[in-house]
Amino acid sequence: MSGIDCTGWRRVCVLFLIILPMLLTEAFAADNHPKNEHINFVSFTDYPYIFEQTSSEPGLVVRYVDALMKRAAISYTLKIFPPKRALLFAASNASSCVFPVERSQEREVLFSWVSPISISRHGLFSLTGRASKDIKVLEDANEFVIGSYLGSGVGEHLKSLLYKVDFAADNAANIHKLNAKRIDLWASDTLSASFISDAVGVTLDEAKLEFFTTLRAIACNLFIPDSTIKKMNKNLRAMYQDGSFERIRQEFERDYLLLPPA
Amino acid sequence: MYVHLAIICMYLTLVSVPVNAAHEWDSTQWNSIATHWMDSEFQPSTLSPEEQLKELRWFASAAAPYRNMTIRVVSERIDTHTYESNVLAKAFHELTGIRVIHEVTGEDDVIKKLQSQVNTKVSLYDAYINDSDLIGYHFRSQQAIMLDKFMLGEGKSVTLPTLDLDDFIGLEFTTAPDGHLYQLPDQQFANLYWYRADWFERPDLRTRFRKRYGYDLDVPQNWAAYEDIAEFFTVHVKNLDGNRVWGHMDYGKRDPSLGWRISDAWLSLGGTGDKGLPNGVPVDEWGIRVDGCRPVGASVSRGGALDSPAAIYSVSKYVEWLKKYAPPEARKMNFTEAGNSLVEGNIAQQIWWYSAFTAALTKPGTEIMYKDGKPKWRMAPSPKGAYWEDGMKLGYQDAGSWTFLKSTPIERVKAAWLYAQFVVSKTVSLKKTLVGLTPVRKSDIDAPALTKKAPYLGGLVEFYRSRGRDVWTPTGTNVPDYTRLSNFWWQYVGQAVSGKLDVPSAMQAMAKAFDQTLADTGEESPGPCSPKLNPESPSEYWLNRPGAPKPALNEEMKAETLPYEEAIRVWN
Repeated sequence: MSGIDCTGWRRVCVLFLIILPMLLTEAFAADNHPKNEHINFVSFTDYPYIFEQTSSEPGLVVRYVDALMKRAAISYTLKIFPPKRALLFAASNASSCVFPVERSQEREVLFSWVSPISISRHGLFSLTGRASKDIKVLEDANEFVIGSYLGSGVGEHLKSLLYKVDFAADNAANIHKLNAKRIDLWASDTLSASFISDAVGVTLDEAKLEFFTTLRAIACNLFIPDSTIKKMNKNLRAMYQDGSFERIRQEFERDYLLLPPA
Repeated sequence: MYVHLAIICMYLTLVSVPVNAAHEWDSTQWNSIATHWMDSEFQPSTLSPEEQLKELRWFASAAAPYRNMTIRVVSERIDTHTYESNVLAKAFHELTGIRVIHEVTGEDDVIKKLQSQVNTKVSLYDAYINDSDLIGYHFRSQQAIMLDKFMLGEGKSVTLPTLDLDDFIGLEFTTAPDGHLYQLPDQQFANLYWYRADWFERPDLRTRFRKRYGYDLDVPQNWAAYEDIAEFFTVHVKNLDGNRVWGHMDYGKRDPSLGWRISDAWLSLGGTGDKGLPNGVPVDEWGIRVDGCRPVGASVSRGGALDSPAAIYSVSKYVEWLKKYAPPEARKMNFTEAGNSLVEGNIAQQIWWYSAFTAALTKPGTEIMYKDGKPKWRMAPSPKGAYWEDGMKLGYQDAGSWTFLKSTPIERVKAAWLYAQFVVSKTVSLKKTLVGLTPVRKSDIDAPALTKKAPYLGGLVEFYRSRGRDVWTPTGTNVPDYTRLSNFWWQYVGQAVSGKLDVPSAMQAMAKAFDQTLADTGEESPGPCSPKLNPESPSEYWLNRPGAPKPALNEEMKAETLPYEEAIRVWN
């Protein structure tokens, strides 16, 4: 019978068997983390996708990124910056990527892209009981003031279509603006709207219209090797196709329902 | 209008409309909704009111199993799709109970979303209005539903009996070499020469031009004449009626829309590809050679023409004229900004311009419109470059077409297919054509309503009533992966515009990048029509053979112009 005989060297053997998987893991990790395959991620607080670094919950997109990097066997660090600084940092630091970023024609040239890291549906929300007319198509909202926030691609999209858009400093401020009747409708992605309204204790109607879908991406500095970008994209695709991202989302929604926001 | 209403009322009285047992609405309510839409929106139509009502009734009935479903579709942002999104989606909802979220966004975003659904298999949209430029990808990747098979099979119960495929002018563009129909055209527009006819007709300017150049200021037939006219207005006329004017307009901002500018037409009009329609055979206007249906290379060393003398000449002229003759701000503009800038009234001509902007450029009260509502401008065939030969495509046509992916659940595909057919149905199609000016049906093009409108559209109707609609063609099937390859155009040509690379170096680098991507695509998705590169050969081997890639020619041409009426005869 083949195998390891631990009779005489029992203690040493047991110790060896405990340490062996650790050594193998280290060796495996080292093999798969060539020196240049390290990414310095930067991001920005965007509930519930990215929480502050001090929070025990990292946020849904951070969970996606963590799973992606583990699968691609690329080491990483993550720092949270203000949004604009995060974008500038990634554009000017050779081993850096920023997420989650809405792709646009203007930004396309500035980064290499790993996409999509998140898919969001954006709706128009109003307070429960606040009467407003039925919105069947987006044009029906043209008589209303729509709340969005600075830097929101969807807000800019609405503005470019000549809707009356009121930009707040951040998305969460819109719930207070709705309460104060300073805006009629709030344009937000559905998950953020649900999270923010729960946190504030305000009840929203179901989205009057889910009018737009955005894909957000990991935007990487142009000096990051193509091979690394390709590897990340390949693993990202596989994780969508095998349901990994869907499982992470379900887990997150379950955890998030159990853990009331701070 | 009263006659119209009376006919409908008589029809409704004689024929009750039991829409469907599954339908919750009573027939009176539905009839009232249908009458409202027919009378207030769906006029004019090539159908009689009775035929319209019958068609609408069919939609309501076929949609019954999908009532209360919400479907999502996405398209680029042009007037036609805005009309569909705001008006036709609402009508469809009221008539069928299927709610439609019809997003309009940048063309680049549409392509990225489609590509993301293909890559992730996550069903993002139930249908895409996607340019037929991707036909080469769709038939090779087999990710899109073959519509001809769908209509006879799973989609039979939801296929409009009066769809009348033979009435569509663009099916050739959406049919692949395997003979299957992958996309259904929703809107089409062409790239045509645009010029200020009022300026060209001015006796003072005509005299000055003839004196300087020795021929008449008319529609340029080749790039030599175009360049003379550009120089004439930018350098010699300079100011007209107190305003600075320019002899050329283009755009050069390094973003994805720069890629379309070059890949859509600069190389084709320069004469880079081979003869043959809809695209050159075996080398198309992207410079990609095929062997049968298999792409075998883009660089000259592999039999392609992307870095050939003709391609370098085409891009050199684009860069040179942008810098010499266009307003300085044009270098920082993109597709939308440049398209809208013609309204300001300081541009004399544009070598090719998207007719999708016709609606925007015929709005009353601007510098480029007469008070009687007729335009001061005309569209005409674009001038051709030194390498262009008879038998080659004459220009680019965009055919935004309904595309359904296999990764979308089939019941959602069926509901979306109903909406797709609704927005191209004869009930609504003529009105949509008059709003967006992007016709897809022969019956609309030949309609008296368009004849009446023709003098107000600068030549659009004349173009679409001619054979021009067949020889202005989209990107063809030589391009196996439009999304991946189209990125290279703006990246490399952008470097030529900025001066980071000279044009030959940019084109050589781009051709290499194309070859590598073709090789990668072939390895990733092997198949009978997948790319497989030719071995590299000395350039002379290919340049000395007939057709593309063509050897360097004498690029000096004798300038030639024709009066408008003669110039547009090429369309016939």
